[in-house]
Amino acid sequence: MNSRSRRRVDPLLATGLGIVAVVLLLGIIAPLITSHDPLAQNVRARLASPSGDHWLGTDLLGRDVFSRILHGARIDIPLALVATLVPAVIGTLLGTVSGYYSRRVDAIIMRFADVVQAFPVYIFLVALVFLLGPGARSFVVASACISWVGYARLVRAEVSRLKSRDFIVAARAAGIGDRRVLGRHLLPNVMPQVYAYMASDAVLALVALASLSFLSLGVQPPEPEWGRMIADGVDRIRSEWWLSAVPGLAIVIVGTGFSLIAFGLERQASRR
Amino acid sequence: MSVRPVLSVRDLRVAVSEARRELVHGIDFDVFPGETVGLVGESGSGKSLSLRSICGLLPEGIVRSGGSVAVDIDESGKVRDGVDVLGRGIAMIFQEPMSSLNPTMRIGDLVTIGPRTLRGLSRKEARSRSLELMREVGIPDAERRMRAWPHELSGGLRQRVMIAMALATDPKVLLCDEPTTALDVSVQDQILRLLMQLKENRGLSMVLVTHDLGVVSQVCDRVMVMEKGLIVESGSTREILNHPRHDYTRRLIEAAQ
Amino acid sequence: MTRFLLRRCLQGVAVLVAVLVASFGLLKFVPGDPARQVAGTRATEAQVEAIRENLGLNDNVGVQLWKYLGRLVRGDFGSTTNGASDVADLIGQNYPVTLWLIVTSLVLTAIVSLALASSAVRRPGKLVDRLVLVTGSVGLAIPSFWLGIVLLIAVARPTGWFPIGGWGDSFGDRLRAVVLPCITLTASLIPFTTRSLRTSMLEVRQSEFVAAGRSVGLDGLPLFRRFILRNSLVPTVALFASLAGVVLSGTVLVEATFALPGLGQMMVVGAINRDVNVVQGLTVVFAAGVIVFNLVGDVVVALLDPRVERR
Repeated sequence: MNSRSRRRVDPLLATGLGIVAVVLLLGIIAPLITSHDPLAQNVRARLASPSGDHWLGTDLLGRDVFSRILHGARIDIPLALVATLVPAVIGTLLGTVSGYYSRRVDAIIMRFADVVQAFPVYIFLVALVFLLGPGARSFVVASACISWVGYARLVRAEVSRLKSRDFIVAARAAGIGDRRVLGRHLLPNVMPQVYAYMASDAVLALVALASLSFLSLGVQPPEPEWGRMIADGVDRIRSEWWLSAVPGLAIVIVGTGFSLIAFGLERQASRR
Repeated sequence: MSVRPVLSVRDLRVAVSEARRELVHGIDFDVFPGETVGLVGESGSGKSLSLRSICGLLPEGIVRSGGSVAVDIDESGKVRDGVDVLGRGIAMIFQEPMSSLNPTMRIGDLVTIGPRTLRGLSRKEARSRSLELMREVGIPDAERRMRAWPHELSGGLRQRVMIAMALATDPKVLLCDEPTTALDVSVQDQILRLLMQLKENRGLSMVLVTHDLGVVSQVCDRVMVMEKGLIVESGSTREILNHPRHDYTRRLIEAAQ
Repeated sequence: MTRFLLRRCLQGVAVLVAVLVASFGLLKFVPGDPARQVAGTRATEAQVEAIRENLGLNDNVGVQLWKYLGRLVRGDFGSTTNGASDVADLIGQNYPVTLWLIVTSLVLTAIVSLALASSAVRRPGKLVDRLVLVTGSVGLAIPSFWLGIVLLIAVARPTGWFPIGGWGDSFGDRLRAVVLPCITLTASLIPFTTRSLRTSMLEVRQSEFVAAGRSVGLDGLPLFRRFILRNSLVPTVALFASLAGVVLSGTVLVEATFALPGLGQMMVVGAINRDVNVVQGLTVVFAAGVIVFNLVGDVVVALLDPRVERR
């Protein structure tokens, strides 16, 4: 592959990265955009309709909704990324071990994977969060316990497929050590697919975080987390419907961004 | 009064629809009643595409880009395109009996699916017709095999089922696309003999695509040799095999020996 | 078929046993003291000790596991932490709602994805086809609970046809109560199923036996019905079975959104109230649900595709 085609980024990938970057940036510079403190309560100004002062009105406790949504980007996006990265690292490592080394280790890892997958994701999430206590940290740990399976299966399949390919067999025959074969020859061929999987996993992590918070099991109040905000607004959907609708829109926008990144990366990976 | 051809093909062209790349560059031939015509050539010579384009069974993305096909089987003398009489006078036998039978239908239902749908044959009529046809194509123990699934049959039997399926439509013209290539040698011979016998009994006209000159010498009255999308030589089987005029034909014959 | 079924059932039981042990381990080997977790931070040491004794945490692990399995086999899931009711009874009361939701959603999913996929396939690359692909990627990013709320805002509120959450007593009320939840759950499944169906329909359409079907004069609806449909369903049903987790997970969120008194809602409330027996019991029930789901999927695949039994 020459340097020029390497530099050309897939348009879907670029769009997706753009969307996520913009929302994240809005979250970072939120204090510059709005003067309202996302946590400041004002009981006298509660449930105000959208106006010049409060662009999206105020919630039940009189907090500025626009400010809370912007600040939400600081919570949801980084947490979704961490909850994607941790299982990705664990799963890739286990998948490599499983695909490259002995059959016995492989069998053990894969049986664990089977059992994890026998549980519906959200049931497992709720059960784990129950054990660890609600909160952002539990969410990340629970994600790590569940999501590694997808990566492990993907990497295992790819590694064991590539292992029998000529260039790997040749490298091993030439006496190149396992670590070098893995690091220099195998993983570079597997990682593009892992990245694509990570992007689509980030969509699920984002939605899972919001869902858990919606169920009061994720990020705890008063933090301006999007799923929690949707839950807070549920009782008011007959009148102040935007309290629930708008935070969800933020999730859909960022999620679509991740989705597009996944699509773009997948296309790039398959083009190689 | 001269005999009119049942099938006449004029300037038939086949192309990749998007790239506008032509694969068959205008071929002409006639098939007369009761005649078997062979279309031979190496793979990629366009013989299979030519055959399939007669009745519009081309793979996705490939189209008949020019020329005409006239099928004259109607008693009133009306001439129609092959595409319009598919299953109503023209039928086809495929190369791979493994993949040409619908895996989710029982043999008995599959054989008469054509007339059952097109002519509204009743279930009972269809059943007895299936049984009849399966016996005609020499499927032993036909009664029991009515309830079998395609994957339960051997390659040779599957090809017989395919033939029965085609016969169920009462064809006048049978298009055969490498009907024996995928079969064991011993079975090949049986299937060829079956085709010959059916041709005699039913007065079928056949176009047979093959790369096997042995098959040609056994079955065909006339042969056309195709190379790179063109017919380069044609004539009676004996003439072509004994006195090939074209280099390509000679190479084919040498390669077969 | 009988032997096939028997084998699959045995496999299911094996997975179930693994799941039971895992659900036990879940409480056992996770860092922290389960009794302390249950009691909460404000409990006194004596209260924690009482809970520990009550949960049988002072026995050795093997004995605990054995007792636990024995209880489950007898259908005894213990009682709720406040001692007010029996978990098995609660499950018995709540499961019909969840079952309603699942069955109606599966039926709707089947209908919608079949309609979408077959019209997408009719003209590949055109409007419907593109739409299917786009909704596939955006659809995953839509949290189902939020979609439910949007439906409440945009449909239930202005029309008044459907209750804003809650269940009903009469059949008609229940039917009305299940409509929006069912649409919500269906929407979260459609992206998966429609894409899979579209792919397999395109594949089947290209296959030689479809050409053979055409060669005997079949076309249009008969060709689709007898040759394309059943063959394309096979991989999608298999996928469907693997989506069991998504379906059951979906019920948790959808029930919470629409305040439906089903198992999912019970699970969430149990987790919020820190009720061990409820969470553990439901984890087992849901995992068993996945196993049953897979089993049914396998059987449907075997019924659709006569070749399966041989494998």
